[in-house]
Amino acid sequence: MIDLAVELCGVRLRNPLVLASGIWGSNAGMLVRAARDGAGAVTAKSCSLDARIGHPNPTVLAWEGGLINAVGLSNPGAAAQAEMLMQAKRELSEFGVALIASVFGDTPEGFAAAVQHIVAAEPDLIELNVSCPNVESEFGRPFAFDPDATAEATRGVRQIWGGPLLVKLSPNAPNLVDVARAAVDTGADGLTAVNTLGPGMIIDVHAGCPVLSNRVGGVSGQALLPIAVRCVYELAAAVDVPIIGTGGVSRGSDAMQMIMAGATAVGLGSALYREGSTVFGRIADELVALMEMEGYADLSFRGCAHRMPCRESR
Amino acid sequence: MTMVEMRSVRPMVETHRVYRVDRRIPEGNAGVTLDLVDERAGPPMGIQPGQFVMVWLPRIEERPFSVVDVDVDGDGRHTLTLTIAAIGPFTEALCALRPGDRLWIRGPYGSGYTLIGERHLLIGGGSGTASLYLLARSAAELGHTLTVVLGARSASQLMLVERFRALSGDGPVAGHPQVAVELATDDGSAGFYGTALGAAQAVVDSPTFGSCDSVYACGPEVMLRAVCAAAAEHGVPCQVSLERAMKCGLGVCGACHCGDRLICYDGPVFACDVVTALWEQEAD
Repeated sequence: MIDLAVELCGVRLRNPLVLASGIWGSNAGMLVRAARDGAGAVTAKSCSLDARIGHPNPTVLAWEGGLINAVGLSNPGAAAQAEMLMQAKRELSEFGVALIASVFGDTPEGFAAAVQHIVAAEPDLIELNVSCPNVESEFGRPFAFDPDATAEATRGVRQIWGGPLLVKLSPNAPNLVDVARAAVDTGADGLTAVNTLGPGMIIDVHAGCPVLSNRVGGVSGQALLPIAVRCVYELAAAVDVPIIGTGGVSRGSDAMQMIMAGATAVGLGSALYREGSTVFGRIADELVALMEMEGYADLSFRGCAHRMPCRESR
Repeated sequence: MTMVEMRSVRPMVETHRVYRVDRRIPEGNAGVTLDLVDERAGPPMGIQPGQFVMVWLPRIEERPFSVVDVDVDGDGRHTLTLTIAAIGPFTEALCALRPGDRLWIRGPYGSGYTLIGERHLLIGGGSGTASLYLLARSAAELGHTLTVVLGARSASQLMLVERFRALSGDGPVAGHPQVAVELATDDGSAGFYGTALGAAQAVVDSPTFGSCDSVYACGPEVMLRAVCAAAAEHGVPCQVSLERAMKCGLGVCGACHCGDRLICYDGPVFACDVVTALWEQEAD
């Protein structure tokens, strides 16, 4: 009997697969659907203190390497989000699936002000999105490039939220490990690695202009996987907190790579494109089949890629 | 009772294809119908009635539109027909396109209508009319019997009337006699004097309703709710097409949620029992 259960920052998940933020999670119904279809935890779409409309269309494109998006963090504001999260929490309890709230701000105070509303919903975990690449022009450099700003945002939230706290990092940060240490030193219980890559740009050659209305957008899906695995590997070697490894996972073997790099849980986002939340069941099945093939009864192979030799040859 | 299943498989990559306006047909004061040809003469889109495409005008906007019709000529070139109701800056820009102008299209997306039985009632309100034509044509080509109710605010706002009427005459399905088109206008300037909802109500109250095999509707949600309720009361299968503000169109972003479904991915067409449950979820 293969056991997929994991513990993430003190929260037990029936399996390591987590719905990543920004995919589907705009309302309770879709979060519950992902749970019903096999997610171990679900992350709501990021919210800020005040509502945001986001960017005009086109906002998301499918390309050969995955997706590129500039939805622009559209959200109803933290007060309305808290209501939605309360409903989601209530409905998710039936499935024993953890709820992760995601929050962003344009200043460290902005993070805390939004979290102030969110705590009322009592999510199982809160994730600070310090790393969205789509709003740089509005907010300046993302926090995720700046250890001090990340520390300040984390510290501010830590003062008003006693529950498990994750900080979501950017694959673009050249000093990824410094930013992660800053988050952990100021109270983060875990890390989510990584957000989308880039930003990137796709130009329609017939139109002679970028397709996304925002011109640039975050790159996700297949193209991101090897970068995300490397980020998780570096982080796992440097900090001693659980990591949700996110970025381009679309198969059981991708999820296994993340866990071998040191991830405790594995985020799924772009993989929902094409097959919806049935992807949770498929990837779990593929992971189990791989574990059986390799003789693993549980996920204790986590981080094995750091050891030399990686595993005993048989 | 026959049931014609219509589902499509989503392609892996969905970049835009360039089309040129071939013909522009004004739809009274309501908007225009555009016949579009694929500039590169690529393989025809496999479109099911009720599916939609995303239409992009570079540097302006991108939005979903029902596919009104699709035709393939002897050379394998296809013509895509869209009907645009002018309701804002983007749709006005589309309505201003002239023959030869380009526009960018990706898709088709979403689930379409499933024909159930052989006697159908189609109810279109306002721009919702566009969603029903390809269904009507498919059913007519199969030799089915159709009643089509088209509603609008006034006679000059009615869309696609002649195209629907042609299904029973010398149109694409030559000589087919079993397509009845009934009109309704809020101001009584054409057909039934009353709203699309009122017209729909008149139709569902008529003896025709109980005797049809299936009902299909697209239009204002208040109309769809009434149609669903009446269909449930008469025990007639019913499908409706929903409209919501849509972002990605790919089933990814979650913007067009309705309960635990996404309009772009699970819809836009839903069976009435499904959509009634979704409306209840939303009311909670």
